[in-house]
Amino acid sequence: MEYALQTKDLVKVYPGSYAVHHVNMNIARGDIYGFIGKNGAGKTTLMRLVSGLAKPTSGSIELFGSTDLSKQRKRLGCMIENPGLYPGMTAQQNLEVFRKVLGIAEKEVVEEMLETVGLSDVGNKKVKKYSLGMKQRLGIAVALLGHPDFLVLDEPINGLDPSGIKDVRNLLLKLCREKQITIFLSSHILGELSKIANRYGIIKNGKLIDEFTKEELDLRCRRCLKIELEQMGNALKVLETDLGITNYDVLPSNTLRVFERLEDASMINATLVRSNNLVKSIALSGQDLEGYFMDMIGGADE
Amino acid sequence: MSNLLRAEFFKLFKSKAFYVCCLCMIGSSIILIFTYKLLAMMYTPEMLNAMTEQMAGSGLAVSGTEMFMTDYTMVTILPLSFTGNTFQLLIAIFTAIFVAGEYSCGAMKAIASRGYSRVSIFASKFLTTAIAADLLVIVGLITTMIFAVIVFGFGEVPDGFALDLFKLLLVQFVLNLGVSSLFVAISTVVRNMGGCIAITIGISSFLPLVLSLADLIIGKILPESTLSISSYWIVQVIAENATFDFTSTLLTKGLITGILYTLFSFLIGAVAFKARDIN
Repeated sequence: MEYALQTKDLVKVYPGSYAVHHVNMNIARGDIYGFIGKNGAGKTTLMRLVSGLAKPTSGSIELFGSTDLSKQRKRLGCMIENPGLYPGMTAQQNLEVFRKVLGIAEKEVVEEMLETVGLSDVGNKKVKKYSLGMKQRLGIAVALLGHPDFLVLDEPINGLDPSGIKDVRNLLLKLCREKQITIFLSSHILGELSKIANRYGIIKNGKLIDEFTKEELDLRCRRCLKIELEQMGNALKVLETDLGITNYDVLPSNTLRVFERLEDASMINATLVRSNNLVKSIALSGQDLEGYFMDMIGGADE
Repeated sequence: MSNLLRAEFFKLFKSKAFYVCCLCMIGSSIILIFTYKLLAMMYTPEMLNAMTEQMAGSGLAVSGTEMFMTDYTMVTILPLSFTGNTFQLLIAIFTAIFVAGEYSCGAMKAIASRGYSRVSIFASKFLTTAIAADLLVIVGLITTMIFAVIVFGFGEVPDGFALDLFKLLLVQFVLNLGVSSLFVAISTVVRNMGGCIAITIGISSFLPLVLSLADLIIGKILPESTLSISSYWIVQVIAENATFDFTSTLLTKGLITGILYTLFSFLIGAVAFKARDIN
């Protein structure tokens, strides 16, 4: 498999704490990788390491299979923390600066990009008069200049209205589909992330605690009957022999997840009770990315 | 590097701060001419000589003692346009906005993440600011010349004027490069627009006093010593070189001071920019 990004034992230490703790991350070419974590978990720091804004304490980064990062970073488009824009200049002038930085000869790319992000009507307006959402769009336009192969976007839909979020979502999906651009994206709006990404990584206290595909997420989050028992006893035997249920899994703390006969909750309950398996709770359950994420990181603020 | 320079010049000529600084330079040059006019009208030569002696005797680092004279013409006033600290204040403010402002607005991140080496990013900022500083000097110089001719007349051109003018411009441009380099280095280290303005203005305004005080203390502790720290402060060297009466020692000291300030500032700025993360 060809990778856009591979990190090996990547570490970034700030005085007194690990911001990134031995992270081994792989993002395949063409992936839209959703990066999830609480505030201060290390998302932005990792993105800053990838884009060269911060230097790793140890470990290595490979971009497109190469460790010649200054060369490979020319293939990156980044928007990290906030759109880096000149407030005293218009959107056109901002794009013009970055067109020159990238040495792009075609002047028409400026208008092209403004149109791509839906700002062509306000291209002459000074950026300081823009709303946060408009700045985000312009930041994305700057990141897209030069047709990068790999986009690193930190919270790109922050401050966007619902139609703006939808536009950015469609734009990113189109870029990935039509131009095979790899996208490394973080967001706190997990519902939105789950509509875009095909792979996910969860970071907690600087450690990458889980990576999974969209299919795996669907599998982990699919609808089920969650049965909490007093003791496991012979519950599994009852499920299989008396009820004919084979599609289930066992979670810690005497909990079962049954993925079939979801409409027969009361009958399953009665059968288990009759065979001396005390049921503490039985409920129809089904998670989304947000629920799964909350489970993984251990709920709200610890 | 050439792409970065093109982008920097685009930003420079779109920068409101640059044009405001140019206007301030024009304003200050005009005020300077009319101040001389007033001096010439209000004071007799004897009074001005007494003032000159009084200030020179105070031991303070007084720039441009030639300001108290009466035979003002464009030719005699031209060197005086390099005295005072207006230019230093303006370039301090401009550098803080132009260099440190990039950190404040986050644009530095967008540039630094595009694969350019840190040294080339710093060098492009350094060169652009140096050229902006020299443009400011040129604006001030031209304004002074125009208004001096209007107010006082052109004046008699002495022998060897062209060579002296060349020496004056050469040494002043090198020294001003040193000043702008110093402020670029400070902006790169501090990375905060407000902080940079405060520090650079503080340096321009108070460092000469501190250095003069240090000279007095050294003179008290070591009466035999001829060491004068303040004479190596670049603004003081600029004032010393604001003359047509160049000696080779003065010229050499001016050029070496300018070059050393430029080199050390570049080194410090480049190392600081390379070593630290960009937030």
